[in-house]
Parts: sequence; C-alpha cells; structure tokens
Amino acid sequence: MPATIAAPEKETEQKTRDGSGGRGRIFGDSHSGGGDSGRWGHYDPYGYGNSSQSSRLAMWLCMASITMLFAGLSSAYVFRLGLSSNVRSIPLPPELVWNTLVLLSSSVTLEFSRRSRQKSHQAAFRRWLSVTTILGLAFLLLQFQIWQQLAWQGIYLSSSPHASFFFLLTGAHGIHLFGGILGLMYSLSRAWFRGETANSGGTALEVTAMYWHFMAGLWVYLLLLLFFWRS
Amino acid sequence: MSEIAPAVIHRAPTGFIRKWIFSLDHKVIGIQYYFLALLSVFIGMTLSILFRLRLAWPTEAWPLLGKIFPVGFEGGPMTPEFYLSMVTMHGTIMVFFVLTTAPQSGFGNYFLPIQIGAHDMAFPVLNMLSFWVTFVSLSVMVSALFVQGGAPISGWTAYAPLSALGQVAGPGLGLGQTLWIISIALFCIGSLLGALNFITTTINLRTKGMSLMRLPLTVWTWFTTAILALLSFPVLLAGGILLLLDRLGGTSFFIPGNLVVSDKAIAHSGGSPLLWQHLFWFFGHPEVYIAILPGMGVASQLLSTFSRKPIFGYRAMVYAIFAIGMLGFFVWGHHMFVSGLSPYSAIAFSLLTLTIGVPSAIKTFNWLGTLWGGRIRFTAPALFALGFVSLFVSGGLTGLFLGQTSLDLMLHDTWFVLGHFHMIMGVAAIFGIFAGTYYWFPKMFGRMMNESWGKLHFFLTFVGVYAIFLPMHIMGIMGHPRRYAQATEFKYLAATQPFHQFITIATLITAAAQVIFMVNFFWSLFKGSKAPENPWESTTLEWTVPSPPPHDNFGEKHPVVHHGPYEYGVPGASKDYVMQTDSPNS
Repeated sequence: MPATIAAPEKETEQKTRDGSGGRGRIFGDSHSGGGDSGRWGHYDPYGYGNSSQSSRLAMWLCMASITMLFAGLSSAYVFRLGLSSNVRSIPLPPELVWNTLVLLSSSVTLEFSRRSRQKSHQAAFRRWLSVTTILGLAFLLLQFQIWQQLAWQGIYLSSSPHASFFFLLTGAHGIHLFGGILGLMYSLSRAWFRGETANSGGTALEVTAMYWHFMAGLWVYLLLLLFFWRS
Repeated sequence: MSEIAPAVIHRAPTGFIRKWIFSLDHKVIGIQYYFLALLSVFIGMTLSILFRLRLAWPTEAWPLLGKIFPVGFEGGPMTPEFYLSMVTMHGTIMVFFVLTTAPQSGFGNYFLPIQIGAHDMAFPVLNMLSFWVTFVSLSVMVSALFVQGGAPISGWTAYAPLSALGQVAGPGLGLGQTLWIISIALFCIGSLLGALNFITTTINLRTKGMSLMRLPLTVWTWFTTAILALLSFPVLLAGGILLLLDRLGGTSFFIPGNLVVSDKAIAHSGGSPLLWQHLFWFFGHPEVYIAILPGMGVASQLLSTFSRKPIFGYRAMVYAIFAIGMLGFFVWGHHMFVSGLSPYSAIAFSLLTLTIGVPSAIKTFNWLGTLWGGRIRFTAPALFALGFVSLFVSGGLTGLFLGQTSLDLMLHDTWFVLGHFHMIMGVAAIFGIFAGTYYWFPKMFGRMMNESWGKLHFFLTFVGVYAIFLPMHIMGIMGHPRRYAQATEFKYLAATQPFHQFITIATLITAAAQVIFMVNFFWSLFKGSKAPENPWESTTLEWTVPSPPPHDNFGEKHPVVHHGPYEYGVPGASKDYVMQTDSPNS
C-alpha cells in the first residue's frame, strides 16, 4: 500500500523548469552593480541578490510602510474632521509656500548631484549634494519657525482638530525627513572624507535619493490634504 | 565572478558578546527571539492562572498571593481592577510577544535563510536591531506591572476613550497605560524592521534553482506574514501616536464631548472612540493571520514529511496562503458589528469574512489529502501538527458564527468570542510553535528531544486545551459577557460558575503539563542524544547541513536546488524521499 502512494502531482511540471528559477527580478533592475556588497550586504556568486538591489527593494518596502503610516493618519484626519463643524482653523501660513519651494528645489539639486556623479564630475557632485543637505536643514528650520509662530498666535496642538492634525502630520513628516538628512550626510561624508568617486559606492546615495523624493511628494500631499481638501 | 569561492561577509565572531548578545547571525537572532517568546509565554501563562483563580473562586482570599501582590489583593480576594490588569497583560504579552514573535521572528529568522539557500538575512544589522527593539519593548511592557497604579485595565485592545483619559478612568490607566502604548509603538518598529528583512531576503537571496514554486510552504507563510506586518503595523503605530497625544498632548482624537468619568467631567470634546476601533482593527485583523499563518506553514511541512507524501495541492496551498493574507486586510469591520456600523458596510465586511472560509477550507482539505493513504509516522512533531489541524478546524468553524452579523449581535463580547479566538489564534498557533520546536530542535541545538515525553506532553496539552476552551463557547451562548471579574454577582450567570471552576482546574493541569515540555527542552539541550544531519528524513535545505549549522550555513558554496520541497514517496527512487539538492535524475 505505501508503495503506491500517489506520485507528486507537481513533479513533472517542476522538473521541466529545472534551474530556471530563483531570480529576484520582481523589483529593480537585475544588473549586478553596487560596490557596497561586502559590507553588511551579501556576496552572491550568481549575481542576484546583490546588496544594491536588496537595498533598493528594502527602500521600496520602507516607503510602503511609511505610506501606510500616513494613510492611517490621513484616514483619521478625514474621519475626525467629518465629525467637526469647524473644518479649518489654521489659515495657510504664508511661510509654507517658501518652505515648499525649498523642499522641492532640494529634490532638484539632488538630481543635479546624481547627474554629476554619473558623469564623474566629482566637484559638482559634492557641491550639489552639499546644497541639497543645506536645503533640507533649511526646510526643517523654517518648519520649526512656522510651528513657533503658530504657538505665538495662540494655536497649539490641542487648540482644534485641524491644528492637532497640522502639528501631528507636519511633525511626523519632519521626523521622517530628518532620517533623510542623516542619509544625505552619510553620503556627503563619504564623498568628502573617503574620496568616494563616481565609480564606487553610490547605493547609499541612490537609496537616499528615492527616500528624499518620496518625502517631497509626501509633503505636497500633506499640504493638499491639510489646506485644500474640502476647502 | 561566477564560481569563485565566496568571501564570508560577516565572519564568525569570537567574543561572547558579539556571538551571543549583539549577534548578526540570523540563527542566533532566531534563538534569541525564541527564548524571548519562551520567557513571555511563562509570564503570560502565570497571569492567566492568577485570573483563573479569581474567576473560579471569586470570594476566596489568597494570603500567599496577597503577600506577593499587596495592591491586587486588598482586603482578601483579588480586586476586580487587578483582575482586569491581569487580563490585559495576559492578552498583550501573549498576542505580541509570543504569537507574533516565536513563529515568525523566531523560527522564521532561523530557518528562512537556510531554507532558501542563503548565508544570512539580507540586512543582518537591521535584524539585530529588530530583536533588541523588541527586547526593549518587552521590558517596557513588563515594567507596566510594577509602576504606580499597576498595569492598564483596558484590555489588549485598549479601547478608547477609557485608554485615552489617564488615571481618572481607573488604576493602571495612568503611567501603566502610557508604558503600554510606548511598548507597542516600539514593537511596531521592531516588527517593521524584521518584515523589511524577511521580504527582501525571500525575493533577492534565493539560491540557484529555488524558484518561487519550489519554496517550502513555511517560507511562503513567513513571506506573506511579513507583508501583512509591513502594511498593518504602521497603522497601529499611527493609532498609538494619536492615543498618546490624547493622553499627553491634550488633543481630542478619540475622546468624545460631554464625557463624565468617575464623577468628573472631561474637558476634551469632539473625538470619536470608533476611530480608535477602526485603526486598531485595521491592524488587529491582519495580526490574527500574522499569528496563525506561520503555524499553517509548519503544519504543511510536517504533515507532508511525516505522512511521507508530497503536500496535496502545493500551488493551491500557496494561493490560499496569499488569499487569506490579503483578505485579512478587508475584514476588520467584523470586530465592530455592534458599534453602530452602517448595515451596508456590515454586510460587506460579513461577506468578505465568510469568504476567508474558502481558502481556509482549501488548506484543511489539502492537509487531509496529504494524510490520506500516507504511511504516517506518529512522532511528537507530527502529533502537534495534527493537533494544529484539529484546533484550526474547531476554532475556524466558530468564526463562521461570529463573522455574520445577526448571530454576532448576540455573541459579541461574550465568552464565545474568547473560546473562538483562543482556539484558533491562541492554541492553534501555540501548537504550531510546539510542532516547530519538536521538529527543528535537533537542527537548532544539535540534540534530539525525548520522544516519549513529547508524546505525553502532546496528549495532556491536547485534551487540556479542549477542556479549557470548549466550555467557554457554551458559557458565551448562555450570555456570559467577557471581562466580568465575578459571575456570581449576577443571577442569570449563576449556572456558569461550575464551568468556571472546571476551566480553572483544567488550566492548572494543562499548565502543569507544560513543565514536562520545559524539562524535556532543557534536559535535551544539554543531555539529549546527538542529532544526525537529517533525523526526520525531510527534504528541505536545512536538513542538508550539519546540526547545528555552521556560522555561514553552507560554507564555501551555495546549494543548487533541483527539486520541489516535498518530494516524498517518489516512484522508482532509491529511498522514499528526494532532497531538494539531489541531482536532477535521482
């Protein structure tokens, strides 16, 4: 009886695709770049699963989870303001326009930096990367000033639902953006002190750039949600 | 660079601290998670014994316990507030630090990289961080037991507004509740780091020949669970931030207006307690699958191995795992049928909930199909896998009662619900952990566990958990609401008191049976017979390496996979199984 156990139903199918599987091509390109492999990353003799590719995938996943965080907070915002007759209490602070311009231009300068790196323009690469970092810090400073001005006007976290969500959403964005600034500073220090050239490294910068643009997009979304939704 | 010998990325550490404490090795981190869960389950079980004593003999004074917990036993019997704090901490510790930690982070960390032929996780540093964040989270959670006012009394769901109000709403809702929220927030972050790692590793680090349809089902479940964690924990984190701001920042996200608590008017206004329920259950329902899915993977792997047959319907199993995971995101409303939810959305939630029965039935059918006609080896791990199936069916069927709106109106928040989720999410998942422990112990620690003690442990536990949780369903149908510290206060509940006493006695016996497991575990750790490389004659990659595996799992070379994960009883083969790495013609 045991000898007549049913043959594995998938067996023939699996055998025909022998050796064809195992490629992580779901996300990202499958070129084996990334001079970072060999730090904490993974050596891989078959050229898949290199550190650069894994880092990119991890950043996509990270952005997915941050999206869920802000989706949760946004749905709370929509739900909570739906219960309130007083939909908006904070008028759009004019400084936010400058702030937004600073953040968006930092995304542009980061792209300049990456272009320069690809063209092996070392000096331009460093310069634009420094400008991006300074713009990022400037954004946070301006943001801090806006919070302070609101407080001087007597608008606090607990003043109204709209104020609560304004401080919460911009604050959560600021904390996440600070993580991006740390990433920029890391790339910056490698560019300045380790003499990193266009041919080496770069995974950290690529991943930081993904994150940085994501943060810019998230900021625009939050502004639209806070000040233009149901206006 | 195709066939040169790989450089080992993080070399085998030499010092004790780098090797066993701040280790980057996924195997050590897996063991760390496992022991964290073992410690947590001990705490959680102790708390449950305490509140079971109160339920069975509500007026009995316990002088010895009174000496240990002077606050909780003021005037003799356990105070109702202390009872509630025990229930809260039991639920929280069990759900987060046992059911989420052991099967996913413990076994997953240890065996996912080996089963796909990788040398480690994609990001070993993140892996280490995720464990230590979880460890801090557990420490903060346990510390809530010892602060002024004691542990929170709001239940593991921490329903607002009581959880949002602070000390005024009851003891434990001050500092205790704040620590609870901080601990959960930390746990979210630790789980997110882990989930990131699991997904990246599964997608990018599979060895040559390990196609998606050759992954062991355990890997599929860990992978799906990681996706669930990645997308659901951020929402809990969002809820936790809002709750913390309500408590500390003076906001009113969850606190409604005109609230009077403990004869005090609350200044907040305009918030919605329902908002918390939405955010919590959007996480909470996927969390149920985070707990149970890895158990399904272990059951599939073990039933195939021990019935010496290929898993029945591998592809259907994979699709069912994914279907269960994805449907889990759209059913959170079934926890809120009595909350004033619109009847139309309630119907939608109800239909989606009942739909989950389809992939669940596919899995159950396939497990039975796998067993059918097999030459079953009734080892201790196989028994626990069978027990898993039994509990999964028993607990799953009652889900059909609760998942549709009309019956749920009556059964909501009764002991029926407790019986249901303890069966399926609690002990079914625990049986998955036990099955995994008996099965993988030889690989993890290089020694065999004692079979006879394992079988005795299984039979006592199996009978014990049914004795504990079946009567709860009847009590629920009799109308006994959950969270009541004392049924004897109510005339209509007088008939349930014998049930309470029966359950408590069953609890004490079942808890005592766990001593057998602990003794077996630690005795085998040091004195068990040496484990061979492949004691169960399994086919997956972890059984191709020594027990325990060396630091970099596969040494200098990557394994190459030629076979599916469950090729047992292959006609014409020289033995009754074919390893995944065996040559294509074997």
